[in-house]
Amino acid sequence: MVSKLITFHFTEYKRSKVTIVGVGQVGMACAISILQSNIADDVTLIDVMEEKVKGEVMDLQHGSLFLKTSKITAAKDYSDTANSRLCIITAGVRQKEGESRLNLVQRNVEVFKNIIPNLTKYSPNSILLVVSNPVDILTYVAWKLSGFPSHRVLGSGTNLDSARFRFLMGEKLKINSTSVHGYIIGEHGDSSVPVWSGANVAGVNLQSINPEMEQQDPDGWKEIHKKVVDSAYEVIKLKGYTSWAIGLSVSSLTQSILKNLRTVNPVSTLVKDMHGITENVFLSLPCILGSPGVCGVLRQPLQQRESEQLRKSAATLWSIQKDLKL
Amino acid sequence: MVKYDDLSKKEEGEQHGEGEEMASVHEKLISPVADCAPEQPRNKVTVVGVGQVGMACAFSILSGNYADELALVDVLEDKLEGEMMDLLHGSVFLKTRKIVANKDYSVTANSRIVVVTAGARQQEGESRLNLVQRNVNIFKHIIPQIVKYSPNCVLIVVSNPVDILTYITWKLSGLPKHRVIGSGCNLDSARFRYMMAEKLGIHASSFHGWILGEHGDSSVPVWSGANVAGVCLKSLNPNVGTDKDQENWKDVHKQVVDSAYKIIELKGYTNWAIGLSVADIIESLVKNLGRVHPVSTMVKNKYGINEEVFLSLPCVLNSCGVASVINVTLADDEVAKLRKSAETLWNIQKDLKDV
Repeated sequence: MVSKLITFHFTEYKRSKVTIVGVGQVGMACAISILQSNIADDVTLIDVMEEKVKGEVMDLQHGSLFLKTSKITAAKDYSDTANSRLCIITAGVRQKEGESRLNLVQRNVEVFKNIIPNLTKYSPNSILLVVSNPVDILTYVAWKLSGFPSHRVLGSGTNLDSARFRFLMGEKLKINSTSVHGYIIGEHGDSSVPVWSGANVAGVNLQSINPEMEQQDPDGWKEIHKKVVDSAYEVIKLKGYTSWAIGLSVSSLTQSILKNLRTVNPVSTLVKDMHGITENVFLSLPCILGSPGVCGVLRQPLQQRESEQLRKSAATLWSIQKDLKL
Repeated sequence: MVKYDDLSKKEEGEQHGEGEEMASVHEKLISPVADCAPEQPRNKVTVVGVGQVGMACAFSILSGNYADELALVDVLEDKLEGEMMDLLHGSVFLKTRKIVANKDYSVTANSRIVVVTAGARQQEGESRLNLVQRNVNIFKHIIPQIVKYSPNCVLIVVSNPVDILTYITWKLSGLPKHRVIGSGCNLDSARFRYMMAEKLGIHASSFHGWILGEHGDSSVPVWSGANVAGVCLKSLNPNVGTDKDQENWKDVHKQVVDSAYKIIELKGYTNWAIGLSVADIIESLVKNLGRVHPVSTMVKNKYGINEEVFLSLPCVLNSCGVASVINVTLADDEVAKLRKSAETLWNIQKDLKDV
């Protein structure tokens, strides 16, 4: 009947394929965000849990009527991920009770040793976007294991921290978060750096209005950064994990890369030789993202205190990285 | 419960405080113009139940920008707060400014649409009647509160067994039947269209086919209407959908029926497709589109059905709810199936207590 109904002319070709490694809550939130924003024409999911991947992909495929992504695939092995433009890595092990950070990292290195070479084998020209934590270290690990030039390996870094930062500042000022501008840079996590000197609304620098912003600050601005840092823990305590916000943030980065938008986003990139950093580490700085990956890094003027913090983070990361068996 | 209010409250505290030198950043930065009293939401959507289905519905609603306010309700307070926070943290990427959550139903006030995904799941070996009775008890708590705070809303029931629970919702709410809709066969039809389209190498939206009646094992695929660009499959293959069909197209319907079980077996639950399909229904309602969807509606007096039961038929959905129903010409065996479903549903419904 098919041949009676339709005369086929062309075969298909793919241009914007995204592979997502890991179908846990974060991976699936990334998947649904990317699908609902219509930015890829092929989304492939892969995980060691085969049944789960199959089930998730089936569920997504059943929503095809409402989506505009023609191909959603459950990879049986890495060959199905071939020719991806972007590979998003959300897989990894979680910290066990009382586990040292170094130990967690080494365990994740073993997981990445399985994932990264396989991804790069089948998509040698792709861009790698690392989401798994600790993201800055794991982005370094992905870079080392892939052998890719550094502009093609980035970490989701403080993109989400900055989004939370803008949300909280927006709530405080009763303005939409998209109209409040502010960057959190550096290490994703407890020692991230809020660049108060850049926080502004319509170009009006907030610090110029309240120079005490970071210090005594009766206004309660300093606590905003603390709230950002605590965010993940708070949400995890309440619902067990975080998913929606990170999914949306990754989808936003994906859009910039696939559509060559050249937007500026704080993502984890190789920062050696920036802000006086001498180690081969990845930290978040405002980067221009496009089809080649990280097209450029903004030379953001930082205060003494801020660049010191970056250098301190770099030293901490390096002390862990140097002992890793890669 | 909404913690973020603290941030701006601190500002306001300062405003009535000391002197010039204590003026907040807010005051210095912003000169008020309009006296912006909080407005009533115009397209508020409430989702009851923040399990996997509820949150998938919530996310799809946010992605589609259908609501100007989203409210979440559940009995699990921590989970509720965590989910709300996680969504709020994505605000920079969204266009729905107000996202609220509380176990108290006052948070749902003035909703245009309320989606009910809450309910008990079938326990091993549990009879359907028992499951339904348990859900009646849950709905007895939920529905009156929804209606109390949003007397003009349209209710969408997603919880299973959806056709029975839509009936229960209608009874407990006292709302007119056009304002109580069951998600019904909207998802079944979406799955059908996807699977048929895959076989034909086209996009699901270009394959037209309807699954009607009872959501679940006894749903009815209306093969006579299945078409692509107006070309009826039946005109190409008169046996399509029957056991005589050599190409075995009937199997596609079986796959649709088995879908949910299969996915649950593989990943533990289904959520993405149902979330997308519910958002699709909501789009028609809030935008007053008048699109036709196969959703569960009161079918007494149609197709010779005498019982007050809800089954899926093609319904025209606009801002008032179910504006009208399309009168589909069904084959005798299809009508028989609908009537049998009605009978089965009524057998369960008539024994329910306190509805």
